[in-house]
Amino acid sequence: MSASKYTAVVTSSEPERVFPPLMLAMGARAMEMDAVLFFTLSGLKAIMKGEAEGISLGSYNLAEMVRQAQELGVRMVACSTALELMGISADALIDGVEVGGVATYLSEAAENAITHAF
Amino acid sequence: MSDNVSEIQADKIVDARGTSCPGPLLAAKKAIGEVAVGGVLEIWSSDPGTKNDIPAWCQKVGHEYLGCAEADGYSRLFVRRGK
Repeated sequence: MSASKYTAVVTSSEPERVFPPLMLAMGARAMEMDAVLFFTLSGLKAIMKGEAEGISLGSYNLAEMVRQAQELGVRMVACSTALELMGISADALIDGVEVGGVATYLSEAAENAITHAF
Repeated sequence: MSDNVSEIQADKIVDARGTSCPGPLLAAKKAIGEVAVGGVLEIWSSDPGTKNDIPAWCQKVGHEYLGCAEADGYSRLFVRRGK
């Protein structure tokens, strides 16, 4: 059976590591699949207020892509352990992002999904 | 089969030229809802990846990919809405 969901673990906010999962997640939504991105470690910067605005690659801007992805229904989860490890408060995250742990990601990944790690 | 593609009369044309992946794909997804089932959507794109993206999207979602005609600096892709 064809996968009905795209999931990815995002560990970095470097353009080379963070733009691909966002693009793939948006493409998945265009193909009527669910999409879930799990942000951890340095990937958290992409979903923090005032951080993604300064990250660009060519004509692509990270804050703009994250916003577009959210509008398309890409679900975004911030890793609770990483928040604590890096001393980041949940208040520092952009609106619309959930906080979860490994079980949150794994239960999504286990259900007929493509699973990527970046 | 491809010879007649450029002569297809589309019910709707969406101009996604100048947008880059996943722009054309998202434009197609949005526009197909405005075409009746069985009708034809024509997508204009200057992004090379679109020629691969649209057929794959059609297969996944259940539309019929009719083919591609090249214009001056862009491609015209034709999709028949399947459902």
